[in-house]
Amino acid sequence: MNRRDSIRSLFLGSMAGGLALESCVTEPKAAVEQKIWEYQYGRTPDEQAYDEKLLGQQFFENSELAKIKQLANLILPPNEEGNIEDAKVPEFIEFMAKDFSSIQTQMRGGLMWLDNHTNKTYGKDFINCSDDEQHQVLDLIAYPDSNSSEQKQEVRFFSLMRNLVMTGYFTSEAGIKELGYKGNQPNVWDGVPEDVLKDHGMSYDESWMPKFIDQSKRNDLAQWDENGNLIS
Amino acid sequence: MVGKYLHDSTGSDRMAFVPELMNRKRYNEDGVGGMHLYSPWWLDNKKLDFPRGYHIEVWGGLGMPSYGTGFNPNDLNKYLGLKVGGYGNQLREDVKKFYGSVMGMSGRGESIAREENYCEIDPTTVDEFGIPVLRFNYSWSDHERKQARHMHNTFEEIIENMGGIVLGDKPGADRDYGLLNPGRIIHEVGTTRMGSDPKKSVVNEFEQLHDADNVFIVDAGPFVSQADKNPTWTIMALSWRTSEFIIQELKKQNI
Repeated sequence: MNRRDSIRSLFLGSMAGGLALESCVTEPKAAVEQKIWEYQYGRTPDEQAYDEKLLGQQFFENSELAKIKQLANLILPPNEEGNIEDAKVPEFIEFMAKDFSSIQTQMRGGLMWLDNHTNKTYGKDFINCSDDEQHQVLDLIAYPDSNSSEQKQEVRFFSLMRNLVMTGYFTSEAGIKELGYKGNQPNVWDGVPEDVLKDHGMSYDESWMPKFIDQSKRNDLAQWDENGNLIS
Repeated sequence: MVGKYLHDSTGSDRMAFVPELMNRKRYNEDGVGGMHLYSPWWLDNKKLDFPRGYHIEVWGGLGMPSYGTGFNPNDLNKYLGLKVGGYGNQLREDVKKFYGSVMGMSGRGESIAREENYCEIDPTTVDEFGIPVLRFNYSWSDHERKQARHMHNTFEEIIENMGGIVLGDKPGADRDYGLLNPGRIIHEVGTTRMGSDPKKSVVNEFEQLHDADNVFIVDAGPFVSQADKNPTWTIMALSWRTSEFIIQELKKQNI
């Protein structure tokens, strides 16, 4: 084989590679399956090791987690729609503190501020304060000053905590249901519902309607004539 | 010539709050945003202070909640004269009220390919496999900055006419009118530009190196310019043509 021919066979080899692969797929099926499931949830070995490291650690002390749980319940009190325990909000916050370590100092510092403040004011830890006392504390830190771009440390802490609680809840099963998210329904999308269009004083252009896909025929296969012209 | 005429799309974005979209009826709205359409630029560049053009991608909607959903749950209250912040079940109502009421526009445009924008092999840095990485030398010119300014004027005009409230400050000259850094739109093309003159180009019309008959470049390197659109389809079209050329030349045993 001269150089030209060998390059040619190399080249054609890569072209035919797809076919060759397909034809031998049945034989080592188990091997292929194993390869796919090796990365069970779409993680590379490096990522998996990182996940295992995170999940094997605990950042917040149990006393801090109890305070987080209490705060989360004050931010989003349980009702018939859902609650932060079922939504696993404290676990979510524990995870975020490890995965997004830049918030650790602010979180831990804020939790300490709470106890410092309540010990000075009421002579006890935040968790042991009455409902009224806890509300009084939150009233101090839950309303950022709209006239200032700089907020006190404890106010910024509470804003962060509120964000984590809200996003933890509204990305949970109960929260998504409460929000009314209706997507993630593949295949059929038949446009904006008529009543919604009507509410906004809008409508689809009649002349365009025949051009839109007829959903009742969406599974029909196209037909071509012998010259390759589309006939359906 | 290799490495020169590197260029990316221009890009700038803006968000808006649309009060009419508060408390929306829920329905499946996945996938309705971000549509792309090839269409000619219809403004007259003779009346504009920049060359070429751009398109606008519109986004928003009742999307799937993800990390960040519920952040700053009632910040938009400030536009309604209502209190911002707080705690308690009112926050649930705030999140539901504002869900789907924020939309945005992303302008993506054509930049001018210039010889002085180039990449080269970094003499001091390698990647984890020991392969030298690329080093980029790229700056925008006023062509792109003025285009970004026009984008923001257009965003604001559209948003105001639809009854929306533009969020954030309008970026001024100090921020290149909101023009994102080169590379941010990840449409980097050029560096092995196509042409018939080996002094001014790297590959010929079949993406074949002027310097080596059996080397072809079938990515976006051969682009001498790119429209405001994503480069993938053009890469595919050129690769197709190159593949046919390779097969034809191979049959003749020319390569």
